[in-house]
Amino acid sequence: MIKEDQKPVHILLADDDEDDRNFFNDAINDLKIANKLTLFKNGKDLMDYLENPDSILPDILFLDLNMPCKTGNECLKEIRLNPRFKNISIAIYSTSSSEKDIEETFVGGANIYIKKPNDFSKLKKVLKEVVNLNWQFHTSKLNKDTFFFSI
Amino acid sequence: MKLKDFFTPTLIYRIALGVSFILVIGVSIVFHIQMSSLNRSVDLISDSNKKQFDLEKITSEIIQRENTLRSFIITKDSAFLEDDLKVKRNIFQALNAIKEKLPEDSEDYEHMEVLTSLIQSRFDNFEEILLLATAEDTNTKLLNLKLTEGSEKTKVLRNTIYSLIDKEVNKLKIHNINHRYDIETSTITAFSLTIFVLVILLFSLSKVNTDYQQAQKLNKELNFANQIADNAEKVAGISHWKINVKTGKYFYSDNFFRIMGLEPSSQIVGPEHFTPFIHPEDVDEILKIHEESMANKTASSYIYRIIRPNGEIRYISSTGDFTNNTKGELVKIGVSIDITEEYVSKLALEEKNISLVAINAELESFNQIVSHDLQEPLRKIQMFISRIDDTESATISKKGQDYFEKIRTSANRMQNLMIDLVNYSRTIKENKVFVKTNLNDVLSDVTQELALNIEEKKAKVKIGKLPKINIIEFQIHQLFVNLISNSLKYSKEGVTPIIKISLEKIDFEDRFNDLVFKEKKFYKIVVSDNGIGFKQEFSEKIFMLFRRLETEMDYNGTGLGLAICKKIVENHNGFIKADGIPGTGAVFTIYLPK
Repeated sequence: MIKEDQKPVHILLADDDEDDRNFFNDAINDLKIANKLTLFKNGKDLMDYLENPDSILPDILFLDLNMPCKTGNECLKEIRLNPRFKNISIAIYSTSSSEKDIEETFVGGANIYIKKPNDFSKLKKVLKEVVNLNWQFHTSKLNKDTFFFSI
Repeated sequence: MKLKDFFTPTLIYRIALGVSFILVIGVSIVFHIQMSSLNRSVDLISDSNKKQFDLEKITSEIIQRENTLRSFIITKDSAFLEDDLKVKRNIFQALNAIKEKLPEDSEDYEHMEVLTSLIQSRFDNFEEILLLATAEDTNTKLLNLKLTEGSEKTKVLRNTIYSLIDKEVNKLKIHNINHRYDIETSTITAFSLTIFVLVILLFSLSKVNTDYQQAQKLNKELNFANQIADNAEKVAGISHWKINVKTGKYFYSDNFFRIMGLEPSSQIVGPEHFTPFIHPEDVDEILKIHEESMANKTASSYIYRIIRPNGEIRYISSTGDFTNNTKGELVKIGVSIDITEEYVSKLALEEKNISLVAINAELESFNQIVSHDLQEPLRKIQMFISRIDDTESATISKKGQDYFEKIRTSANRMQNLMIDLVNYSRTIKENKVFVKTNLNDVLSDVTQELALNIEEKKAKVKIGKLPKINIIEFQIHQLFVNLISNSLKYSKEGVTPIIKISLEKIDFEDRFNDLVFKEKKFYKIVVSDNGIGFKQEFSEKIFMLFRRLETEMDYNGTGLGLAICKKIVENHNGFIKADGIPGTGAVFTIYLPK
C-alpha cells in the first residue's frame, strides 16, 4: 500500500530503448514505493530537463550509457560539473559490464553501476534495493568493489 | 722516449755506415803515412848501401893506387901511371857524392870531412913518393920512410873507412828493423781495421736484414688483417670512411664502393663524386646534415637511399663522429651500413603491425558486439520470457509450455556462450599486468562467486594453503571459476561432490610431453574432484575450443570453459593437463612459474 504521508522518491530514467523503459516502469510500479518516475528517450532530453531551473531535481537518476544524441557518460560529466546537481545520486544502468565502462563511470562520479538483469524478478529486486539504499552510507564507503552492484 | 725506441734499425744502420766511413778514411790516412815512412826508410837503406859501396870503392881505388905506384917504383914504367888522375878524380867525385847527401852540421858530414882530409893527405904522400921515385938520385932511405908512412896512412884510412862502413851497416840494421816494424804495424793496423769495419758492416747488415724481414712479416700480417677486415665488411655489408678535416682528404673502404655498386677504388675521391648516387629525394637533406656536422664538429647519423649504377635502390645507414688521428689532426670517422634488407623487412613489419593493430581493433569491436550489442536483444528475449512466465504461463497449453521451456533453455545457453566468448577474447587481449597475488584470496573470491552453485550441488570445496604468485588476477580468477564450475557440472548423481585445490610437491613423474618440471621453477597446483571423470584418451581434446566430450547425460556446456583455462595458463607461461578415470573423477594439474 502506498502511504500518502510518505514523500515520494523522485526517480529519473534516461534510456533510448522503449522496452527497457517499459520494464523499468513496470518494475517500479510493482515495488509499491511512493515514487515519481520520469522517463527520457535520450541524454539530450534529460539534460534539457535538468538544466531547466523550474524542474524539480530527482533523488535518483538511472542512466543508460549507450544512447543517441548524448551518451550516458557525457551526461554524467555535465551533471558532475554543475554544483546544483551535487545531491543527485546517479545509478548507471547498462547492458555492458565491461571493465572500461565501469572504470570510466566510477571515475566520472557515478554512485553505483547496475548491469541490466535478464530476468524481470531480478530487475524488481535490484530496483528495490537501489531505491531504498542509504545513499549517504553507500557513498561514504564507496570503492570499486561496492560500486558494481550485485545481488 | 725509450732508448730502444730511439735506436731504430735505420738509425743503427746509418751510425754504422758513418763509423765505417770515418774508419775507412782513417785507415787510408794511417796507411798513407806508413807507406810514406816506408818509402823514406827504403830511400835511407838505398842511400846507406850507396854510401857503403862508394866508401868501399874509395878504399879499393886507394889500394889500387898504392899498387900501381909500387909497380911504377919497381918497373919505372910510366904506363902504370896513365890512369892516375882519373882515379883521383873518381875518388873525390865519390866523396862529394856522399857529402852532398849529408847535412853540413851532422856527425856523418864531419866524419866525411875527416875522411876527405885523410885521403888528401894520402894522395899528398903518393905525390911525394912519386917525386922521390922519379928523381935522378933516388933517396932510398927517404923513399922507404915515405912508403912506410904511406902504408901507415893507408892503414888509418882503411880503418876509418871500415869504421864508417860499420857505422853504416849498424845504421842500416836499425833502418831495417824500423822498416820491418813499420811494415808489420801497418799490416796489422790495416788488417785489424779492415776486419773491424767488416764486422760493423756485417753486424749492421744482419740487423737491418732481420729488421727488414720483421717489417716484411708485419707488412704481410697487416695485409692479411686488412684482407680479413675487407672480407668481414663485405660479408656484413659494412663500410667505413674517413675525412681529414685539416687536409680535406677523403678515404673510403673498398666495401663502400661495393655497396655503391661500383668496383673498389673507383672514381670517388670526395663527396662531390658520391652525391650523384644519392636518391634525389634524400640528397638535399643529407648534404645539409653533412655540412652542419662538418661545421659544428658534431656526430651525425642518418639513413638515406642510394641508386646504384644499375638502378637498384639501397638503404644506407651512416654514422660518424670526430676524433684525432695519430698526428693529432681532427678526423671524422664513420661507418656506412647497407641496411636494405633490414629496412625493407622493418617496413614490412611496420605494415604488419599496422594491420595487426587494425585486426586487434576489429577483435575489440567484435568483443564489443558480443558483450553488448548481441546481449542486448538476448537479454530482452530473456526478460520477456520471464514476464510471460510470471503472468501468462497459466493460459498457455501444455505443448506451448514445453516449447516455451525450450526457448528459455536455448536463450540461457546462448547467454552462457556469449559470456564465455567474451571471457575467451579477454584472455587474448594484450594488456597483461602481472601482480603478486595470494591465490587463497583469489579462491575465496571464486567460492563466493560460485556460492549459489556450490550450495545447489551441496558440494564441498577444500582449499589448501596456496602460494603467492605473479598473476593476471582476473584471469586466474576465471581459471578457477571455470575449473570448479566444471567439477560441479560433471559431478556424480547422488554423491556429495568433493573438490580439492592444493599445492603439491613436484616429483620425478611430473612432465609435460618432454618437458621436465623442476621444483625450483614451478608451482604445481592440483584441482581434483570425485565426479564422472573422463577417458584418459580425451585428456588433450577437452582443452580444445568448442570440444565437448560425449557423455550419457546432456550437460549444459559451451565447450569454451577449459579452452579458456588453457589459454589463461599459457598466458602465465605455465602448463595445464588433465587426467581422468571414468566414474572416479578428474584431476587438473596446473604448473605455474615461480
